[in-house]
Amino acid sequence: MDESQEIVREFLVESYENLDQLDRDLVALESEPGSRALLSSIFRTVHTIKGTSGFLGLTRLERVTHVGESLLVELRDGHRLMDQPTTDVLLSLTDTVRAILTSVEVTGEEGETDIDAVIAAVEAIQAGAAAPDGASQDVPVEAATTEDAAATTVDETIGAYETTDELSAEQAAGSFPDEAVQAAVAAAVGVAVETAACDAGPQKRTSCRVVKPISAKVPEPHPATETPLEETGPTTEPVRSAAVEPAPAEPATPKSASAKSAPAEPATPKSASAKSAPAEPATPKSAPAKSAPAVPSAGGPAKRPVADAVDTGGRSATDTTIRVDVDVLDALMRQVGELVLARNQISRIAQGSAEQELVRAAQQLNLIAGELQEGVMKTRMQPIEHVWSKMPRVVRDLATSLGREISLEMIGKDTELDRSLLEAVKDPLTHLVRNAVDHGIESPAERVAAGKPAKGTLTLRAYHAGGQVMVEVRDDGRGVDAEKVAASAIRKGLRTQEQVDQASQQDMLQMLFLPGFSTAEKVTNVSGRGVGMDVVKTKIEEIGGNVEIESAPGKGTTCRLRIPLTLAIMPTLTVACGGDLYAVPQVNLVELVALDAAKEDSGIEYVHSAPVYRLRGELLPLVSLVDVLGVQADAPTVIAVLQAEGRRFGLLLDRVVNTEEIVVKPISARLKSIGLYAGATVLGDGRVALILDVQAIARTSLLVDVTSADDALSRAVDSASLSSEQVLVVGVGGHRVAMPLASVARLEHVATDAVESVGGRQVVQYRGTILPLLHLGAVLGAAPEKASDELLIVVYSNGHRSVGMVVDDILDILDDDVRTHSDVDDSGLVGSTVLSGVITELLDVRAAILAADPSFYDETSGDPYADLVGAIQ
Amino acid sequence: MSQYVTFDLNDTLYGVEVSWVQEVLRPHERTNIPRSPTTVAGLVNLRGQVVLTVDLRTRLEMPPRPEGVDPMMVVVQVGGEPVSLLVDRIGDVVGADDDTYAPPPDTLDTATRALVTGAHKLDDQLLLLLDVERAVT
Repeated sequence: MDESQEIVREFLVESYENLDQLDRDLVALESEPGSRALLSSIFRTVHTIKGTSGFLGLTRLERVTHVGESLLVELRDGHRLMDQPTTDVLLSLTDTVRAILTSVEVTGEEGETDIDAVIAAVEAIQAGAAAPDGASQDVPVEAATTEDAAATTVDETIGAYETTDELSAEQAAGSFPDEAVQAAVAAAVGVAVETAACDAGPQKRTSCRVVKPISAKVPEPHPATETPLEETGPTTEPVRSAAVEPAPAEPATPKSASAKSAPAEPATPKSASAKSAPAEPATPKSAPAKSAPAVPSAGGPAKRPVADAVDTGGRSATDTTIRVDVDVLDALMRQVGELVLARNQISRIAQGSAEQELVRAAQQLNLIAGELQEGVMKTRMQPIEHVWSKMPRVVRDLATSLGREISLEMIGKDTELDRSLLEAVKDPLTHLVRNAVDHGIESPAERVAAGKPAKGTLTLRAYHAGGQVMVEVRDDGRGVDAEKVAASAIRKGLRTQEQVDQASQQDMLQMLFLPGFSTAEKVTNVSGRGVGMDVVKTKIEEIGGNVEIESAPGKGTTCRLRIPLTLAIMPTLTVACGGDLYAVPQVNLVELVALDAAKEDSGIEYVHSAPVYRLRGELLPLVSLVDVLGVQADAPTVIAVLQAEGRRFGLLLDRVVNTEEIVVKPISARLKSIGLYAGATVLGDGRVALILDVQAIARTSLLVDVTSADDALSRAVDSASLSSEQVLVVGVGGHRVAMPLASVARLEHVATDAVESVGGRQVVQYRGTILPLLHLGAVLGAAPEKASDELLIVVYSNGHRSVGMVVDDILDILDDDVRTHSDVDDSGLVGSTVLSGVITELLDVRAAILAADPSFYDETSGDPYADLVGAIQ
Repeated sequence: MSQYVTFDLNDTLYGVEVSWVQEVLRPHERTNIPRSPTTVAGLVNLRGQVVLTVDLRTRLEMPPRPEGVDPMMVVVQVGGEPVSLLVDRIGDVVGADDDTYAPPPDTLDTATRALVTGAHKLDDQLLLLLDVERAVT
């Protein structure tokens, strides 16, 4: 990267930070309109951007910030009071600046971002309430004159220094111009140290940096400058006095400027009450900006003492921080990881050794490496404030547009988590906040009617708990009615009535996170497009966290995000299978159940070849890791009960080895695409272990939604009544169609593009054979199946022949009571029945299959389907 | 003149340009990856880094390595990531001039031809040049 690009990049990084600060300050200012500290901070920020953009030749940006600055000057000088239109216009100014910066970042050019609108808006505000003394009109003129004046000042200032005995030649004149220029570049670049505390413009940063050593060596500038000030006191020519004495000249220091230019203010003791020549209100502020490129050293030498004096109100903490490239930290992290592994080896050698010295050295190494690892981890941690800082603005804008009154409280800003996680949490959190404002908190009238204060409270809270970070978004709004949520889930076909009947309040609330769910009665531009909550959930689960929601109707709602401290280190359970070790993330682990291997019947039962386990009266579907991985292994001894994708299932394992905190190493996309592994890790003994992707395993190994499968399985085991039969209920083109479960071999997903055509019939390759497809919709004369990239297929088998019936949805597995059948039939059907309160059609399986494969039954002597159909009839 | 790291595979000499090669190592313990493509021979721990291993014998559709032959690991950098290649035996680093270069011989079978960019006619034998990028994918 060449140097100028580097400068621009640093400028962008710095400006983005400044803009975030600006957003915060502006919103804070609205509630505290008179705050001089906030106004100064805002002014400095805009001023810095303006100064640097001038330096970098970004003229449009300079114009926008210039206009903003002149409005801010009026505010700061008390000629105008902060009100909502002003805030709005300043916020939109911030947005415009951000847009330009984005354009610079992307294209390297300022682009065509519309700046005229915002300039006009600012000018309209200014014209709308012209300052009492007409200062705004004066500004440009004054600025122009001051610019020259300031320029002269520099020369004179330097001149003055050359003749000043107090400063040595080396300190002052000799080194100034060069250093100043270098430092100006450095300041524009925003190198490492944030010197915001010593105030606004780049030229001022320069000053600080250049001056630092000097002021250290020369402790007297302060008294030195004060004396002449008193002497020159009565003069009405600030520029002149500046030329004589750099310190009081200080046209650039906003602090002193504000003191100077507000005639009504009691003059600050030393900053030139004399100078506050009422005739020149605009001088101090416009001068520094205008003179930016030309006068890097203008206030330079004298600035430091003043800056020190001003410091108290600034952001001094930033002086102690440096900016480090994340790549460097990542590299450090890797190296520490290697060190830890080397340490583990040494420890192992030491353990077997009788040499006391080696043992002691190994222990020492152990300790140091551990601390180092912790330290390096810390460097990647950032306070959650980085994400929250945007929230006041988000809440304010939304609340304004929706007519809500909301106060935002943020507790635990300092809670730290890994940088990469912070990034990942940003969008979900913003979404939750928007949701709370839009759906949670009621309008003021509604609130008062409900006996609550008109102003709603939105609380963001972050804290550490159990090795995780909890982030809560809580509102005191109307709350969520669990019953309503459940009813809505049924209406949208996301859940059946029966499932809802069995659900707890908590379960019902969790339905908010179902894909395609949205409780908003009308869609607003804020939320309620039905893409929200499930995306929040997905994103949080991607980083190994989870989301819970709690709500009390009328009292409020709390959404709680549980986020791991860091992505890089993960607590896992290491398990053995087929001679290799695998890591199972503990976040997915619910409990471990030991199987009694000694017993003949280990407790595993089979329902239609699907293994299940009775766990405290509930049937837990089981997945065998051996089958999943396709390896050879001994009989399983342990069930790990896992929770993923909203399902609970048991993973059959050879044995559990250990719990271990592992460092996650990425694996290549080729291995990820296998769909079983989330990553790899190096265990304490140096062996590589694969991390199982529990979500993916749940997705691929459990076909039917567990809740319904669970029902079905309980029924399968518990009911053996002759008058009823198990049927699989599927959805086809809006119909509910039932078919006998006994002959269903499997349920499969097949990619649409895997469908091939043979002799006019559609087929797919399935387990090495050709599986003819039967579109049930066509057979029943219903609407064709929904288009998607995957077909859902019910595989029916007879001997070694199979046929795949394409359906829209698998709805349920139910008991069909033969006595309720009616013979209202239609083509392809043998009748209908009432299943869980809904009329369901019974499929004539034989007829349907013959339509797909006329020779299906030819080879088999008996006709098993005839019996089945008969049973239903 | 180019320099090649050479190695044997099924009694044929192959070469990889030295700039690709990070290091040559004795075999490490490998972790199986169930359900992975057959050419993937597992993961190894290379000083704390998890590195994918590709068995060039399976990649080139050669018969399995006979019992008793311990493969060597040639670690190459492809796309910024190290990948370990399993070979039968490691040879010398050989310099070859452009004038000994020839396109891939027609006698090669298709699997091999797809992964060989050319050959150098050395004094005593033929050096087949391996297309590293293609071999590891």
